[in-house]
Amino acid sequence: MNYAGMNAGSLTFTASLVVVALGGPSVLDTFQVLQLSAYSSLALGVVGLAFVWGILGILSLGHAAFFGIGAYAYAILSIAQGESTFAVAAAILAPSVLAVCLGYFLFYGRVGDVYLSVITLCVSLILFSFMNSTADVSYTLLSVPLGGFNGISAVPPLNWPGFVGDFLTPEATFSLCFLLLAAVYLALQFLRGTRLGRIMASVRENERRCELLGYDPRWLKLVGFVISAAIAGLAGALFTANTGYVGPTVFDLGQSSQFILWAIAGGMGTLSGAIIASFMLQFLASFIGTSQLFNTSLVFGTVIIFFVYALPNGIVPSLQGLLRKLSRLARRQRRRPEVIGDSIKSTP
Amino acid sequence: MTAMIETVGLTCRFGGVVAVDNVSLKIEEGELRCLIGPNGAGKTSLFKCLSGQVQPSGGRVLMKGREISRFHPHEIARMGMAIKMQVPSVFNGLSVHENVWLAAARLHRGKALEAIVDETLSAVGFRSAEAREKRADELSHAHRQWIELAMLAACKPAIALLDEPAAGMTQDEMLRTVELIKTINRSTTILVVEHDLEFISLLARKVTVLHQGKIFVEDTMSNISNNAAVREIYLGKQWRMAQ
Repeated sequence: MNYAGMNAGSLTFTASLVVVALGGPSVLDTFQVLQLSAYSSLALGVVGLAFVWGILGILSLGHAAFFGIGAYAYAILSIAQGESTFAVAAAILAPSVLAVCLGYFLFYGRVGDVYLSVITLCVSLILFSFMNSTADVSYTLLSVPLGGFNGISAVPPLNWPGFVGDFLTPEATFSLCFLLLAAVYLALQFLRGTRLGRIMASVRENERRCELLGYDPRWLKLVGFVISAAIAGLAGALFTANTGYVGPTVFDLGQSSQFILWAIAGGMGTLSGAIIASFMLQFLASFIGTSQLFNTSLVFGTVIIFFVYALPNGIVPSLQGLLRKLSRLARRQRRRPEVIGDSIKSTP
Repeated sequence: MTAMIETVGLTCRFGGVVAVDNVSLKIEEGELRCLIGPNGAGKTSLFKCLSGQVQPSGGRVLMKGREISRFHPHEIARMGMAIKMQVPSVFNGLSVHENVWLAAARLHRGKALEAIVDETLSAVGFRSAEAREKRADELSHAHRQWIELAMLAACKPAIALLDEPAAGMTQDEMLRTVELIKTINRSTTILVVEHDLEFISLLARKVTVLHQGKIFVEDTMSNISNNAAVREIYLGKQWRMAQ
């Protein structure tokens, strides 16, 4: 296992994200640019979950709560102000504040793992239920109607900071989304290798031992939880900026379970895996959705069963294992003549 | 001189079971004390009370004269207490090096940290880089015990609680563990729970016998082994066979 955090693999992965960010717009058509921008913002959401789950061992089943609050915060503020800079900041801040409050009670109250998952899930479902019942025109925030199950539409895209009305082109948004994804990935990967990150991993491995060594696991978990919530909030803001719409479904079970599915498929403990899996499965979802052959939920149910049974380590760790096996095989092939000689000699 | 660890009327109840019953124990600085007693005598519960993993139902725990029984385990650890649990408690999914690194990282940084990790790992026989890169769950029981001892030593604690550090070890491994503990004892007060009587006779100057949650007797090992009452409750047949 590599503890360096920043290794050749993670730097290569970051570099490829940057290449996509800068080179993508010149080879892709506008539809693909828009589609991939939306995909990348969901990928950003899952990388935060992969961090808090894979490194700290906290299964936040309701990660959509933070994503959704970020999405709504962006929608409301960008409409109210006509400017997106403060809206993005608020989309990061609001879920972080919720994560601090929620995390304080969960971790300092020593709520067990399973209950923690259930509570986070309930929080997102409560928000879903609440947002669904705000259809009446009297429900407004900063004079922006919340819209109930219809959601908020015509949300303005991102604009250059400080320049009202000077919107980013879809291509610029695409580049920004991928660069942010690369930056967050790299920052989290860097964090893993630091002293703090390594101690966080020890919380996942054995919380009691970590505590008996003199570290406070409650604090470490809270920090990680808030980091992942902030990332999810940013992801929500970018998603809404890309699609121009936010509705209560950002809080629903489907959204939360999608994040979980991507993190599992990508491989627990890897951040790049979650990103790769999220893109693959989003393409799959959109393919199934457009071809209308199967029910998407049915296919995803099958996919999750497949991963749990056939590739329990997830895509990236399984590929790494395969590569290691192949290179060992290649080395053995080079030495084969001697090996055969030995085995003949040793046969009685 | 104030004692390193002192308990005053320490009591620990689990429902109707009184695991630790009004125990007053005093361990001086630099001492190496053994705690013996039959199964269920309350040894592990006493350790859990001392380290803050279990809140005592009554009585007080003093460390260098300071009351510690209401603190969290990580706070007590920061005051200088380290514990080796009965079942080896290490970071299974992490490498041997990482395990000891995490133990030392609270107090040290940079080069000093790496030096301590290197020194402690060498002391328990993990010298090669290959041995240090192994995951803790790939190791034998004895080696995991040593890793936990190394983690404890890397913390440079003022007092160390060792719960059955020689369990499941061969004779050679046990003798080596005795040496390790004696080395740690040069700078650390130690309280050790064991069942292996040979191990105790090699280590201890003073032995406390715990029985049904209470202190039964406190004496030197030779006096303890000649004490008919202790033999009856604990040593019994096994000791006569060893004789």
